[in-house]
Amino acid sequence: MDCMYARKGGKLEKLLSVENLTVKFGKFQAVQEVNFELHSGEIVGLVGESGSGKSTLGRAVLGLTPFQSGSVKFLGQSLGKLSRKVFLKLRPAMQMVFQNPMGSLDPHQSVGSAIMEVLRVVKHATDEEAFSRMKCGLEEVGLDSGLAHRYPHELSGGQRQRVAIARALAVEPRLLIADEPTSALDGSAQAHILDLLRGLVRNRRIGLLLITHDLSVVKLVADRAGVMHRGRIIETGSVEKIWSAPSHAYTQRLLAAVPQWRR
Amino acid sequence: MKRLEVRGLQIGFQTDQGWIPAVRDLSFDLGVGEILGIAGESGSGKSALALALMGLLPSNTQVRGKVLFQGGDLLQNNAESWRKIRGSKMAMIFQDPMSSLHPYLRIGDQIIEPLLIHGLANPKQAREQALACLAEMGISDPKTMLQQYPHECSGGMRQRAVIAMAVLAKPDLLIADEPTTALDVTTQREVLIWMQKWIRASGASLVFISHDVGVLSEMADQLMVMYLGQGVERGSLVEVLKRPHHPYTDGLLRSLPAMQDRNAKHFYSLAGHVPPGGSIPSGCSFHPRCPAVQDLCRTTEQMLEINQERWTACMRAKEGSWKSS
Ligand SMILES: Nc1ncnc2c1ncn2[C@@H]1O[C@H](COP(=O)(O)OP(=O)(O)OP(=O)(O)O)[C@@H](O)[C@H]1O
Ligand SMILES: Nc1ncnc2c1ncn2[C@@H]1O[C@H](COP(=O)(O)OP(=O)(O)O)[C@@H](O)[C@H]1O
Ligand SMILES: [Mg+2]
Ligand SMILES: [Mg+2]
Repeated sequence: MDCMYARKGGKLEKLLSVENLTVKFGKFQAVQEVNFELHSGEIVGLVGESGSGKSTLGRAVLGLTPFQSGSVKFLGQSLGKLSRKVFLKLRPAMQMVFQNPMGSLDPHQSVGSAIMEVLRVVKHATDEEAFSRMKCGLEEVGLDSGLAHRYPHELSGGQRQRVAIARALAVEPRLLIADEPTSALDGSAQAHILDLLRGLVRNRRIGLLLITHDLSVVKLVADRAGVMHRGRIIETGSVEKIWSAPSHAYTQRLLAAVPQWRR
Repeated sequence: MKRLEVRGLQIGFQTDQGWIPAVRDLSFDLGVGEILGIAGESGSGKSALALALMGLLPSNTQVRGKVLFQGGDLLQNNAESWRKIRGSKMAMIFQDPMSSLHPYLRIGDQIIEPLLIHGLANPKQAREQALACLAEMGISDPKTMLQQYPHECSGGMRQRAVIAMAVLAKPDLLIADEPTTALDVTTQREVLIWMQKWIRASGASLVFISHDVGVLSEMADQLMVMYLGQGVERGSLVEVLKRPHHPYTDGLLRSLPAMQDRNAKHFYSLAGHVPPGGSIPSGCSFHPRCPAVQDLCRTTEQMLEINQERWTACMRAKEGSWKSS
């Protein structure tokens, strides 16, 4: 199944470059001088304990939380320096799936019409187009399109999480920041979503920043990973390297705490 | 000894499109001091079950069946009887700690509230118990924390506040719906170890809902797996994880990240998706997605009791196994 318009392939290019990014809430530095790059066709995992600043970093990159210093460049353009008009035009290419889907979905709108709305506004889809692509998008994330008329509170936690993913994908972003996108999903639904996201990265060359506290997810799908601790990225490297030879003591502790179950 | 007996539980939600059956004819027991893990398909009715046990379902709901707890049927409770036992004899821990914490009240006042409401302690005793409990859970400065507002605490601290609020009144039944999904693995481990110790020491029983099989495997004694509103398998944790009798359980375990091949073209997952509420497949409700489906499965459903503690909703589990097919 494929719910997107054309644009197969695409170049491998630097999508995002973050330099010395610092985010403060009052005096508290939630993100401290963070540097990283993300290319199209690449999955970068971001792991770390709760409160380490993962979500704040993701939000700051998309301009949803103001940052105090540093820069964020999307396709070479510095987001802080763009005019509002240019920024708004660029904005749909960068999508975020939020950690708490209840907070990001409008309680007064059925989930189907929420997805159709972004299709009409961003993709200028006609009503019929929006309707069929919305249905396709729900099925793509493993939901029955019969759920379209339900309101967010009428869905289970995992159903809501997948609606949020479908809405973010509906506008065909170049960059997707997914904050704990599978935390509320059962094993099979999680595997389905991870397979879908990996497919979009491989085939359509989107760039994916995958924020999660689930290390096994990062190990399975990410190409590279960064470990965050108290606002800083304390270790980066290929997934193989981090798992086989974690250099930082905190990373070692993190890996040791993973609940193990093997058949 | 039994703590909770659920018999023929049915839960339906009324929506614009008609009734959605969320839980269908579910029966199970929970022993005294037992930790029952519940895993299952997203949307299979786990949260609906938890809310029903606590009498917290929204008003657009219909509930039938029996839930026997301490000599009475919880489903016959009126508002007054619920108020009496909720927070004292039974308590719930939700996935999102913010949903059980009031943003404008100090953490301390909220934690001790159940103790005060049920007259189990005076404010001074309650505060002392709260301090001790938070310290035991690894909060380094519990005194300061009691004075703080929820937004001033990290997710891990808030989750521990919610757990303290649930356990201080020493309930006999604790229900936790994905209590640690928001936590990182290190904090999660601390919290889980503490909860397990608390259950063992207090003799309370715990219903523990989680998608994380790794967490369940470290936490639970018994495991029940749900699919489309029904329990499809139940047994001791070790038994179910080692030798799943139901193809859904098998698929669930095989699709875990640690079981997947990173280099595979596609990850393993169960094909198809759960039908929308309302339309329940005939026969075994898993048959449209079952990799081992046979003709009989399309028309007939059957519960197989392997022994008192072990049952499955796959009739083919008896003939040795569906796994060979
Ligand atoms: N208030 C409601 N109104 C209508 N339908 C509802 C309501 N709450 C839940 N449902 C539906 O009832 C079914 C069971 O939902 P429930 O929340 O119990 O699932 P769950 O097993 O907890 O799933 P998850 O693992 O995703 O949290 C789902 O189909 C869901 O869409
Ligand atoms: N809006 C805010 N105001 C004040 N502090 C905040 C805000 N958002 C996050 N924080 C704080 O910043 C830190 C990082 O939070 P967050 O990015 O959510 O961490 P993570 O996603 O890694 O769990 C935490 O200490 C949190 O309490
Ligand atoms: Mg976060
Ligand atoms: Mg749930």
